Amino acid sequence: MLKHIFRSFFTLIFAALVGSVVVFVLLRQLGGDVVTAMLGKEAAPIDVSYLREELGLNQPLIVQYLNWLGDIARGDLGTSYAMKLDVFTEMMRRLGPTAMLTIGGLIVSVPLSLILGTYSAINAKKIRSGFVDVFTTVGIAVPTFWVGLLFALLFGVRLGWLPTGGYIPFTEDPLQSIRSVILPVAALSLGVTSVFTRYVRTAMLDVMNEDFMRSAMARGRTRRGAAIIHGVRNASIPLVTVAALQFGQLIAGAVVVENVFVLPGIGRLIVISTLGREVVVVQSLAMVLMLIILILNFLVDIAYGFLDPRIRDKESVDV
Amino acid sequence: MKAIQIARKSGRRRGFAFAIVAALAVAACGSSDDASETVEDSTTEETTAPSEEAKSTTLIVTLAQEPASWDYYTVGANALRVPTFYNVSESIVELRPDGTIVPMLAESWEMSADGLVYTFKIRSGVKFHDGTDMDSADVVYSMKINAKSPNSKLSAPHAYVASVTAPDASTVVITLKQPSSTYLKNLGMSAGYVVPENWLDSPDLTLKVMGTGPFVFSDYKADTTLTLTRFEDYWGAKPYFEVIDFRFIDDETAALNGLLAGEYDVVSKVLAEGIERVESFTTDSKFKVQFESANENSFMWLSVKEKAFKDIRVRQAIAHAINREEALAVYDNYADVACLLVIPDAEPYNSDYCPYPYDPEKSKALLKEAGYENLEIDFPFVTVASHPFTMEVLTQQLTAVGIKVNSRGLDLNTWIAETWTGGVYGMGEVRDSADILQWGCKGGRNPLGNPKPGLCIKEFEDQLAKADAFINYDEHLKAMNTLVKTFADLAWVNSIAAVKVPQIMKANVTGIPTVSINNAFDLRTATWGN
Repeated sequence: MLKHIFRSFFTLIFAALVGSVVVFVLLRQLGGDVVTAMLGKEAAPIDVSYLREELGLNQPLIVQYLNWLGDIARGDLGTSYAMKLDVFTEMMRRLGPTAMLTIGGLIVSVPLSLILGTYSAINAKKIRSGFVDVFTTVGIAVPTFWVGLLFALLFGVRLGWLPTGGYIPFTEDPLQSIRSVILPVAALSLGVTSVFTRYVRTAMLDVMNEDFMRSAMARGRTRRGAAIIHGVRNASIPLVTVAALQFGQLIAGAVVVENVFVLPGIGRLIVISTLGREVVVVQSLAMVLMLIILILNFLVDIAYGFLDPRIRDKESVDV
Repeated sequence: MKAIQIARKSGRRRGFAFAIVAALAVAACGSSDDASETVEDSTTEETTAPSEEAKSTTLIVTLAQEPASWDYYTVGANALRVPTFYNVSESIVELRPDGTIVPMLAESWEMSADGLVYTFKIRSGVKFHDGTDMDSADVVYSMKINAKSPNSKLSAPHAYVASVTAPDASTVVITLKQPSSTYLKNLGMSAGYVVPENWLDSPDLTLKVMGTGPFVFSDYKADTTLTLTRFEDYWGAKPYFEVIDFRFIDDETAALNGLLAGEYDVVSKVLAEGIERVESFTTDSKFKVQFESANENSFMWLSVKEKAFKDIRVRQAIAHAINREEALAVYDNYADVACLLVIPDAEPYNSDYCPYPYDPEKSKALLKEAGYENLEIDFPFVTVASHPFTMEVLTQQLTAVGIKVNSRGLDLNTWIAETWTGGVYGMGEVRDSADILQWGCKGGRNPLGNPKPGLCIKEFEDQLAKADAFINYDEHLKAMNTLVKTFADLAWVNSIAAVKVPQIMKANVTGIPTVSINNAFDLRTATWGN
């Protein structure tokens, strides 16, 4: 088991390093740099060259990469070139909206998908199941930004119930803060819920054929009762795994939703920094997000080791 | 047993109903007053909305663009000047919308008979937002650093300055190497910025703008808000609004939705996808649409490196292929046809002169005569704002006369690096506010001045050298009129349209000028109307 943990850990570190190189190289392939963004198109070449020198952008790429990696290893995410903002401070400032979006999205999606998936599985051969299928198909097919726009127009402009955009920190005004993220969370959750619902439905259909379910029904439980009491718990195990692995998708969805609803989150910071060629900000944020996703994968990997004895046994055989 | 099941069912339904009521309560609970007004406005529009808003001394304005930094010395982007010029920072003199120059931080000035020496009397009792007094030493410091700035809007007008001195605390003397008709006018824009001595060494340089204007740069949250508060020690008339709350919203759809929902008071500029919605606001009595007079021209230009374009017949053919009337559709017709590169279009030396009107047959004939019937052009374009639409129109029009256009979309920074600076293009298109004096082979601008070595055309260069060196203003105007016509005749640069930018606001917002000086969104006189 210990070997399995070490192997997973080294895979994590290696993947993070490879990922950081890929991000670093890709960013350098984009045309222009932060000096272009700062000075604009009228700048004289000598001024451009001087500012590049001042910001250290004329150093060899390998030196720039190692400097940045060294800072990351010391826990310093760096400073933006133009505004001189500390990346860690800026990231923490923007964590609120992104956390509310992603965690809110999970809080809405997981229970809803359990209900819908279970309902659909129990009524698999009935027309009622078809409604859930239609919902999930539409939810997966419809782009998140479009759903966001529709929600903003309907609930914000037409009905005036909720703000069309912007974010109020929870610490400033909890009620208004929740109101400001209801529509973004709803928009983000639609697609995620649909994906999760399909996982739950499939898992639930498998569970329904298990011996313990037949035993429960033989002891007098109704099919629905057995499904809710014994089935949901078993079917939700793969959902937890999927939810952890889907975190990256959730972050990607958050980038879109943050733009539609003008939420100053981490997703927008990545987009704005990429457009402004703030390479240190993008590299550091990408590294942090990669590490979060890789750590989640690592934990899932470890959990699998504990949960599934076959993995432990395979490790032993390999030795 | 059945009774228990019914009770459970009923309990579940109650729970579900409770959940819905709770959700609606959260939604409705904080539902803004503005939103309620939106609903009521249709019946009580004249009484409710203005009286509520008249109480407010905060104006919420959306901005489409945010600068990379607030370092005015380095950053050349319009996004820095839009919220801060005139509101936060001020210049030595003020350039009025009608073109006149009036006192600002200098209360008076004199020009010597030979046009070489300007003596400014600096206004007393002016304070910077940090509480320090402004005097001639600050002005001298500012003019000297402005002249060295990498931001050409600050430095270029100081090219002919020989010296800047301060004989006493309230006098500044600027001596030029040669007369310049436009020098004083430029001091009413970025070149005339005045900051406290040693501001360049301040750790706040990148984080805020420091000045003497009627609003203080109070709080900035990146990608969220910029808050300006009224400066109570301002030397001039104090503005009505105590707080200007600028919101950075680059998505025009979101900004216009927020305006409709009553969350914002003003959408400062509509530049891209929002153009199509402007019409709907003009017919809604709750809103007002006004057009910022043309401060930018949309134009296309040709690379001096391309062999085909060295033949003037090919350039003329391309100029004749452009249907400017049709191109106005890009701006939903919120623009005027412009054959001359005159910015702003209200300049007195502008005219209707158009050497190459739309004539596709003549265009084809010229291409045939020059032997370029199968001409191909590389056309990199910027993928934001109106540029993709302009690209489509130009491509269609050039294709119609037999020219093959290879268009390729680039994001703004890549476009600046590869096309504008790197010179990798056959043809380019942009919207810009640079005046004609910057277009010579030494001016550093495409196509004649960049990429090096550029192209010096004697007739144009001679006119360019003389146009600014008149002491007599009428002679200067006459020379400028000739200059812009010559430039149009050359057909290296073809002006397409003078673009008016829509500003949309609540109907009772007044006092926002429609002429923008130095791209400023000037809120000094903004207030609530009736």
